[in-house]
Amino acid sequence: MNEKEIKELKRILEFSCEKKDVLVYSFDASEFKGKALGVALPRSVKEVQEIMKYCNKKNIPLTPRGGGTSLTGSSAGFNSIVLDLSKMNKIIRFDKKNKIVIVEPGVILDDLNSYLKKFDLIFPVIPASHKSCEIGGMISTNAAGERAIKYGKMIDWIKNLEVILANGKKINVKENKLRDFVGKEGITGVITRVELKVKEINKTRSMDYEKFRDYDELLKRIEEVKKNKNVSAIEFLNSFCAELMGLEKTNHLIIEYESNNGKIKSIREIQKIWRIREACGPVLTQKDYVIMEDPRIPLKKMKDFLNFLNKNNIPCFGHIGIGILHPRFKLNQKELIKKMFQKVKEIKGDVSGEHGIGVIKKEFLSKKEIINFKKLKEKYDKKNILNRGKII
Amino acid sequence: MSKNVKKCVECGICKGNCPVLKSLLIESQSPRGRAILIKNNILNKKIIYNCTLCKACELSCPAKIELPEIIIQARKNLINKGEETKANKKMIENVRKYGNPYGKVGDKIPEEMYCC
Repeated sequence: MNEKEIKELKRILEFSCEKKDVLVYSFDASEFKGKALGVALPRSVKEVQEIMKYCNKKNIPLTPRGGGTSLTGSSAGFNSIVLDLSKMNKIIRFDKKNKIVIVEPGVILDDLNSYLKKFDLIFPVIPASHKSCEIGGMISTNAAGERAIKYGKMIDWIKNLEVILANGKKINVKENKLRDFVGKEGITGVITRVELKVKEINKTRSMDYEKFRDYDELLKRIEEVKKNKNVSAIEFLNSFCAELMGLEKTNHLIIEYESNNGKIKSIREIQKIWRIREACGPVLTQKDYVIMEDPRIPLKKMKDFLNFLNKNNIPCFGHIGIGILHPRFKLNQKELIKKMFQKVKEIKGDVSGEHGIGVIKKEFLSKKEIINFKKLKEKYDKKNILNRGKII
Repeated sequence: MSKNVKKCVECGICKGNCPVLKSLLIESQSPRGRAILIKNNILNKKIIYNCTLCKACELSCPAKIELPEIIIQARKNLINKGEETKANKKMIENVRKYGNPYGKVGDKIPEEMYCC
């Protein structure tokens, strides 16, 4: 970018291309490192529209970003200006009667839930990054979380979106059009306002905590428990993960119910078990298993996949109830990651169940998926301004 | 100086607890941002001195990185290079001269004083 362009951008909104900002916005939570040209920090929809019109005219790529917790490189600058929406963080309107909240994209999930707690309500899609992830980013990746088996993904909780297209035009998106923007990692438009459904906090909880040596028995139990409508989470740790966690080296299964169906009723005990499950990520990171993948495996092929992990000594935990697992790898295990994705393809699983594609998983997309993404790009962003180089 | 900062995998979990980030809302003022800058030997005065050393990031860090200790070391390095902030210089001068960081105390000392 030249001096004139920098001046013009600074006239539109808060903009920095200082060395420090360029560097930090070249990263997100993945191992990918891109190259940001600068960072733009809009505070209003008008500023978002203005910068998008400007970049569209000048053919400057823009990378929309929330909390920067993407695990695929989708929110890191990539020869682009990073559009950090964190300063658009207002809760605009709350309708308690109809359980609807309208927010800006930069609202942090935990901040939203702290606000809703006062009314005994909750936004129930809660990924592990809940302390720092922002609503806009959660929509862009169609985030899920530990209780996805009961509460689904982001798309199930969105009523309406306000989106700015690459040419600066503002549109409202509802129902069947939502899929053009939800989970599209910002390649089709920038979300500036969201109407979300919320629900009452469920105060009854119980849990079963079981151990299995045999995969057939484990999978039979999962099939059986999935029939119970009160099940809110089915989580899993394989034997390698359990060993690294200092637990008995076997397969661990955690089943949470929003009812009294489970044997463990003590809230303290339930919280203790959740703490073990939630510590898996950090403990494995400390033990150098820093790369986390998120394949979705059809339950029918799960045994095959678990055997593959076992054979290759891959520690793994995850939301087995919905088929999403988190195998962990060391930085020098890139070849093993490739081998795992080949396996995922072979058993007709998805390379990403909840983290998205970004840069890191591009090579694993099928031709059909690429064609579909390209069609959307052609429809909404012909000049390929938004998140250029990501997904396709 | 980088001590264990190289262990940072930029996961961003620390961001949720940082009071400075909550106020300034820009990545370079987050614990993750500071770690990236220190790893790359970019010692920006504003960034290094804006940290409150509250250790909230350290408590949530999965890799147990002691970022506040690293920031203190970075400040020492800036001072050795003569690059500390004006406010810091003034504060030290006041402590030496008047025994407090605020400077000359007036004749009338308020009966009640408040702090955070």
